[in-house]
Amino acid sequence: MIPLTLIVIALILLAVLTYWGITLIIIYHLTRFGVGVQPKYLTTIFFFGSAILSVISLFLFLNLDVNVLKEQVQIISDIPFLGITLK
Amino acid sequence: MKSIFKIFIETANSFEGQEEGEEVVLLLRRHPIVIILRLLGLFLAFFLPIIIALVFVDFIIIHNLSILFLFLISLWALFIWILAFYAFTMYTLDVWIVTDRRIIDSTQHGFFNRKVSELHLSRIQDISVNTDGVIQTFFKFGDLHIQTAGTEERFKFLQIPKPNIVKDQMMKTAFAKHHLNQV
Repeated sequence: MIPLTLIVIALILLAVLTYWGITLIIIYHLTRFGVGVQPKYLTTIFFFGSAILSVISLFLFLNLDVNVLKEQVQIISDIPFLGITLK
Repeated sequence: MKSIFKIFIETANSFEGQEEGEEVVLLLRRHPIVIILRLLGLFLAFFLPIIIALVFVDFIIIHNLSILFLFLISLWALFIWILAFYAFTMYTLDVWIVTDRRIIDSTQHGFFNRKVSELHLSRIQDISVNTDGVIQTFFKFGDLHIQTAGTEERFKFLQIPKPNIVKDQMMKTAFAKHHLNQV
């Protein structure tokens, strides 16, 4: 049985790789094909915004207790939504 | 280090495939209202988890879910951020360039689908402007169609701001080119 911590970390790692993959594709398109200075400004804003948001997400993830995550997910799934319990 | 910052001032209106001595007369994109309307939906979507958090604030605090919820909100913000810039990228790369020699239509459909077509100014036969609907009339934008010689497909400039001024400028440039060729 694979530990839950490992699964969560693997999923987060995959999400980070996907996110930064798409980010680099957008940056490449804006700088390579963008005409004028506007795309360069957009690239700068996008890159720094992505970096700041990623750091915030990473910081929050590190503060997250993965061991109690299962219980927390259980609590959320117990909330009746439109009369249906997500169990 | 200084050279990195040069791209913000020295690349104004330069483009890939620009010929030597070729000057950009007009650089056109769709009217900003097009991208603003697209971003408005994303802007509203951004606040969705915050509204949910406010509704379930007591539940979140009692069960000590605040960190988990903040983490989910940050993931949602990342998702909205990348969607917004994807829309920005498609908007920015959908461009029409009018130079003193030719017109270039560059269209981006998704990341890996790009279409570039060009038309020499001497081939312009007729330019027509079409403003359709309340929004286009109110915000002063519309479509511009260029008819070329023969049975070729018309060149279309879609949702560009102030199409009448663009038409006049284009006719002036085409006339100047034609006059220069005769001399």
